[in-house]
Order: sequence, then structure tokens, then C-alpha cells
Amino acid sequence: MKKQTIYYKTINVDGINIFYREAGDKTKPQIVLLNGVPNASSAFQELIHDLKEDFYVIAPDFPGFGNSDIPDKNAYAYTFHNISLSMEKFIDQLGLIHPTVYALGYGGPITFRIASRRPELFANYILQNSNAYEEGLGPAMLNAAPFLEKRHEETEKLVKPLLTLDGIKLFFLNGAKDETKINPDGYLNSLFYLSRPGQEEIQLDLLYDYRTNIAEYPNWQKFLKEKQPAILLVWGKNDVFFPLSAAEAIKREVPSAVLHVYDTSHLALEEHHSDIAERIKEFLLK
Amino acid sequence: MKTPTVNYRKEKVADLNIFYREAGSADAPVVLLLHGYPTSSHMFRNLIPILSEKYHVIAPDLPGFGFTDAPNYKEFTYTFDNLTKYIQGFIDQLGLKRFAIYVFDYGAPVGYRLAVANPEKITGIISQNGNAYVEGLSDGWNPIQKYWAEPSEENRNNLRMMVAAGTTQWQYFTGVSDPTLIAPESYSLDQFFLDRDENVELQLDLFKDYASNVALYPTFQQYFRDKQPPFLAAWGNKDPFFLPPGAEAFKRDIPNATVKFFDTGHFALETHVNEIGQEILDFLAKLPK
Repeated sequence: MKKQTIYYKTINVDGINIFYREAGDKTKPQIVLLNGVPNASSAFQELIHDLKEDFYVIAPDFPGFGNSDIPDKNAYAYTFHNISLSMEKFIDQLGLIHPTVYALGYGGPITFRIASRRPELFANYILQNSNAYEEGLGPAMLNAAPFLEKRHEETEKLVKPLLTLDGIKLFFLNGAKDETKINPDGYLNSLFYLSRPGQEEIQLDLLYDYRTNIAEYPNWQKFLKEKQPAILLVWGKNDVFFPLSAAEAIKREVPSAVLHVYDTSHLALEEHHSDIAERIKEFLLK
Repeated sequence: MKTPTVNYRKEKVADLNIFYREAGSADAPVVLLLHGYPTSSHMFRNLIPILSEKYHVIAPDLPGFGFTDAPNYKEFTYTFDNLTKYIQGFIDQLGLKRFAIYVFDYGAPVGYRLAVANPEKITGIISQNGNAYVEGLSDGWNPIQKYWAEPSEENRNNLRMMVAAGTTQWQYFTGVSDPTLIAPESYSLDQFFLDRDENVELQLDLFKDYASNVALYPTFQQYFRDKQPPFLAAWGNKDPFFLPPGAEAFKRDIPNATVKFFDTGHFALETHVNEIGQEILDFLAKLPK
């Protein structure tokens, strides 16, 4: 019988309680799963079930996300740089040794920032609908471009809808093949967390900071070109944020990367977690 | 191991869209899962993959709960009789002829009403903290019983703390020895639904109508005695609402009933889904088709 045990824990990292999901046996190969908007570590719930017999799996919520603490923005600036520092310390405090990293969405820039500082930390990279190339910016990101260029009341109007139910559904449903396979728990829980007081300001701060990721793209490209890391690309090709062009650009830079394409949305795990889990096992165990 | 596919569907029953989760082969024996307060079929998210390898699992959300329509309390009669009417319609429209039922909390008075009305359809009953005996009611019911005795505005207002976020979380953690087993999306999703516009009012209506369930306990017990349905009670022994004597009592009317206790609280599936899942598989394997 399939066992269902996942543990929901917190660990204090520099005064911030970081929530994380933990499953599997610590002696098995380690995978750390990183995601940001809209659903933090809950994006990985089904994948964790699929992987936990073969791997030790850890999925944290970033500061300000999900069930982690939400530090005051005056004490903790919501930038990708700061979150990458928090996550790097989190990985060290848990004692993970050369884990594989699975980066989805915002998890991509966090991963590339950590890897740029410590190229030896991650043994392998699984990248899903996250980006390091200008050509990988999809229509929803291009729509946000004026906001990323200059943040003010008018440009904020372009991105605030991303935090509404319709915006959240862009991640879950836009480009999905079979809506009856998409668990509605996911997008309503996202709305619950993103509707909390203070979230809008935090999420806009971080989204505005995405411009610093675009500025870093050339450095990450150089990292990929020089290190040629082991990469598995699993991609929802109808993603309006980081479409297939984002995966193809990485594959061009790292020809050994293995690419699996899914006819679905940004949150490809919603429809395809079982198959993606099988691809991960092929990639890491064979 | 591959996770079986779960489909998320809606069935229009009279004027309401009834949301349900469905998994497993359409040819397999059917298991109907009925959730409790204040949750939804979300509570079965981890049980469904365990059962769906061998069974056709169907888990609807009751009217007013989860993803099923929740008409305003002024426009809909929120009674257990009426909830049952919609689930009966749901069963009829899906053409379910024979099935086992899993009942929990509010799912129990709905499920037992269905069993009384359709004894020929029921292959077996799994009651997880699904009460049918007065001795199963804890002191936690006192404020609600006060509202039954005197349905005043003041007594109604006194129950509003029961639908607050703190109480919802308390229900999940009380009696649980390892709190790291409780997934936060359980109580957060419940609260999201409770915090919807005036959902609280319909919940208060149902608190009031719970008296109708207690009034039917003798009818449910008579059904148990007359029909002797195969019965498994899987009970969190530290549930602050439904006490272990409520589980033991089933054996009085159904001597062959199996009663198993688990060291946990009200939402036993949050902490013991593997153990309870195995008990259910063993129980279902022995049922007539």
C-alpha cells in the first residue's frame, strides 16, 4: 500500500521560522524543491507523495510565503537576493549534502543565485517553468514589463490582478488540458494565503525585484555555459510566464540537458506530477 | 509508484452544482465518502489514492461546503434532511446501485439517513467519528445544546466562536500527539470557505439542526439492529466532540461490528491515513459485491 506520510515542520533561520514539508528516508538521495508564487511548497504536495519512497524530499516556503513567517518589510527586504540567502542557510541548517534542486518559477532565480555563490552545492538541477533568458519571458511577464521598469500606481495596476483568483488561475489553468484533473484546493488555498493582510505589498516588492533577475540572466547563462551542470528540464509548454522558449534556451546552452515537454500550464505538476516523478527517477536513479 | 488520477467534477442536482472527487475504475465496487464540518472532500485527499487502486471512490461536497454551491442561508434550508435530499439526488443521478459508505462527523447523519432510506444499496458502513449514540456526545456540545433548548439570538451568537480560525485549528490539533503530521492546507482551506460571505450563518443553522440528528439516533439504531450492515468504526480516541463510548455502542446493535481506536483527534485521517486506509481495505475486501 502507498504510504502517505509527509511531515510539516519549521526551523528558525536567522530569526525567521521557515516552514517546510519533509518526506522520505534521510539516507536516500536528497531533493530540495523551491517554488514561490502563487502556492509556495504546496505546489509539490503530490510530487512529494510520488518521490518519497525513493528520495529524501524537502520543500520550504520562502519568507513571506505560505506558512513561513512574514517578517516586516522594514526588517527584511523582499528581494530575490535576500530570499536566496535565507534558503542557502536553510539548506545548510538542515544538513543537506549536495542535494538535487527542483526549481519552479521564482525557485529558478533563487537557485541560480545560490549556485552562482556556491557552484558545488547542488549535485543536479531539475528546472521547471523557470527562466534565465530574455527570450524565455512569456506574455504575462512582458505585460508586467512597464512595472518592472518603473514602479508606480499606474504600473502596479498591471500586476495587481495576478494576486486575485483570476490571476492565480493563470498559473493553474491557463494552458491546462483537462480542467477536471486540476484540484481546486490548490488555487483557493493560494488565494487564502495571498489575501492575507500585507501580502499585496510584499508580493509587489518581490515582483518588482524580478528586474534584478533579468539583470543577472547573463551571469547565469555564463554559469550554465561554463559548468555544463546535469539538468533535467520538465516544462508546461503553454505557460504564459515562462513558455517553452525558456527551456529551449537552456537546452541550447547545455546540450546534455534532457527536456520533457507537457501540454499544460505553468504549474505542470497539477496535471503531470506522476509522469514528472518518473522522469526524475530516470534522471537521478539510472 | 504512480499516483492514480483523481478527477474533480460537478453534477447539477436540482438547483445546485454538487462538486465531487472521483477516482478508480468505473467497474470497481463503489465507496462513497461523506465529509464533516467544517471541511469538504478535501479531507479525503490522502485516503482516495489508497482506496482507488481497488475501488471506485466518489467524494461529494455537501451543500454549503467546499466547492459545492453554497446558497445564502436565507434562500436555502440548511437542515440535515435537506442535505440528505441533495446527496440522494446525487446518488440517483450518478446511478449508484450498491456502495459502501464512509461517514465522518456531519457525513454520519447524512449517511445514516441514506442507509435507512436505501438499505438495499448499502454494502457496508465505515464510521470514522460518525456518531449515532447519545453517549458519544462530549461536553463540547453543551453550547450547541443550549441553542437547541433555547434558540435565541444570544445563544446563536455564542456559537460564533466555533467558526473562528482559532477554533478550526484547535479542532485539527486537539488530541494529536505529533503536530508535524497536520498539513496547514487542511485548516486554511476550511477557514477560506467558512470566511466566505455569510457562510457562518448557514453553519449556525446546521448547528441548530443537529438536534434533528440526535432525535433520529433511535431510528439509526433500529436500522442497525434490523439490517445488521457490515460495520467498521475507526475512531480517533481523543476527539473532543465524539467520545469513544459512541464507537463502542455500535457493537450493542451490531454485534459483528469491528471497532478500532486510533490515538488521535477528530480529523483522524490527517494523522493516521495509512493505518485507517489499511483497516478499510481489509474491511472492504470482505464485503459482498
